Amino acid sequence: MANTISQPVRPLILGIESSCDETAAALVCGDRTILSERIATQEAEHAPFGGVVPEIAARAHTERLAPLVEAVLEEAGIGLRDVDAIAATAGPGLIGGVMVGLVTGKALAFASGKPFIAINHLEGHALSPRLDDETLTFPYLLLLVSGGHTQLLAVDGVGSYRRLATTIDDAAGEAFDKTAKILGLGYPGGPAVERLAARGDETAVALPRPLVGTAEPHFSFAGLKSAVLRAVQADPAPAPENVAASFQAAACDCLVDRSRIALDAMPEATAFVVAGGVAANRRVRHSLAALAGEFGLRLVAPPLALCTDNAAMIAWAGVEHFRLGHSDPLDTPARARWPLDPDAESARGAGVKA
Amino acid sequence: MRLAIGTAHRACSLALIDGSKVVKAVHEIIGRGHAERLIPMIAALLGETRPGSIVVEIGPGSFTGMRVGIAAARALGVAWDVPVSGITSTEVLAARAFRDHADLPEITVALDGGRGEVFVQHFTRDGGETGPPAAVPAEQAAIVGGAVIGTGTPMIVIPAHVRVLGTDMPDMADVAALIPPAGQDRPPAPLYVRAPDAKPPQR
Ligand SMILES: Nc1ncnc2c1ncn2[C@@H]1O[C@H](COP(=O)(O)OP(=O)(O)OP(=O)(O)O)[C@@H](O)[C@H]1O
Repeated sequence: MANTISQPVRPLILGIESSCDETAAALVCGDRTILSERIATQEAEHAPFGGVVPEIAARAHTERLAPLVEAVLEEAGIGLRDVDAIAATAGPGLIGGVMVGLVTGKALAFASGKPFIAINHLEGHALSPRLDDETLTFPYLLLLVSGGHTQLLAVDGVGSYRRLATTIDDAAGEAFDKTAKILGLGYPGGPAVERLAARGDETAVALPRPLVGTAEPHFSFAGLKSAVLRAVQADPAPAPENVAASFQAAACDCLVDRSRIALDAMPEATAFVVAGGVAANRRVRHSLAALAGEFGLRLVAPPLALCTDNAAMIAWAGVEHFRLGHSDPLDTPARARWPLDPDAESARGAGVKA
Repeated sequence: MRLAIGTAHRACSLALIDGSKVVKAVHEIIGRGHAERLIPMIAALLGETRPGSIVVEIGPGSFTGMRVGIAAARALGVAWDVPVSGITSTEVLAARAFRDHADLPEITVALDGGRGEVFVQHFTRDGGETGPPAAVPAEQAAIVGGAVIGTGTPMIVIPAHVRVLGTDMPDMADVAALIPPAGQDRPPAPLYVRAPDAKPPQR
């Protein structure tokens, strides 16, 4: 073809994400090309509050989403008539923001006469490794570790997920964020803790590894966070970099120990995949890679931009569903909670997150 | 043809307007659930018609409702490449009052703002709004002039000389009664009136 822009490999899907504090839109093709992608983070708006404020998030999504959609279309040089379907996150997440993205997606689909596909945000994370790595096949074990979730999922196929474990209290990213707060590092805390930990001694401060060594499959991080708080109140106070390093090591031990139980329970897994914001952490990746090696598996960790919230993963989940002929009605509701595995029993105290 | 979308209150209110004539309208009290109902209702109203512009109710009203309508309107605007403008809930009710009461020189609009507050705004027939809408505790709401309209009316003490012209919520069919300059060229952005509750979530 003479054109500089060649024909996109079908299907071509527009993805929309607005379930937390990132407003995002992306165009992704069947051959895994990301034609264009825009993401507007609200970090600065939420930073003064030390966490995401739902009403502020919803306001920002409302303001930014439509121009982002226009921008990705323009950048790719295509019109809505050229896309095959529109995929939008329908939950789980902060409901006010989810509604903005969902209604935007449904309105675009209606107005362009294209199918609408409602995506579970967690499924976006679960399938995102396949956007990055075409050799990754089902089934695989997924460790989803973000600020809102810490779950081990058996990914058997598109739309087929078994939750093997979840957190009974805090998410791992939340523990990083709270540790950062305790150490006065600001928000978001994960990257700050990792930077400080790089200079610390991870054996310097004794911290607990909640549930490690027990037969129950779930995660727990609340006790670790409380222990960090007690540790810094000691006299003399330990060096902050040692607290950060020791916390990070403890969190890694928890992730590894629980993942080992899941890998034992899933011998059919072809790979061990990690996704979510905490997967950006190098210490976490190293520990998990070593664990995968014990099982003769490779660790698949998508690039950082795909690990944190983004719209390319939503568009990609749209590609996977579109290929199976799936679409959703225009009255699809927004869901604050939407477990990927509807059969999963609620772990004690858990379920609150999804 | 203009499509008017109103979701800032308990109704899902839609109208297809040609000049000052309502071609087709639907006004259903749905409470919440705008995010589910709105697009199918727009599809049913429009059929094969493609409007040349969109006007959306921007509040003051329910924050969630406003955002649903505005998100839909802006997305339709992108998809059809048509202009989208905003209209306030209060001016829609004022337009109804002035249309239905030819002798009326001025009107106070009072809308139920939740939390025991009302959104109030005063309009004159000749000059339009005399100031921005404000959220005030119902017991402090002042009615300027001799008439009041809106869902906030039952929440406030009405002086004997003041006429109550209705307790309804805004109906987008009344957008047809709006004559310039009112309701022209407002951006399709929410009119929140209240600052956000800035409490971090409990994780
Ligand atoms: N280098 C890092 N080390 C540890 N944690 C990190 C690092 N980078 C980011 N995080 C953590 O990842 C989380 C953000 O991840 P992400 O954007 O995927 O999730 P989220 O929006 O909080 O939640 P969800 O996707 O579950 O709704 C935060 O808790 C942040 O502290």
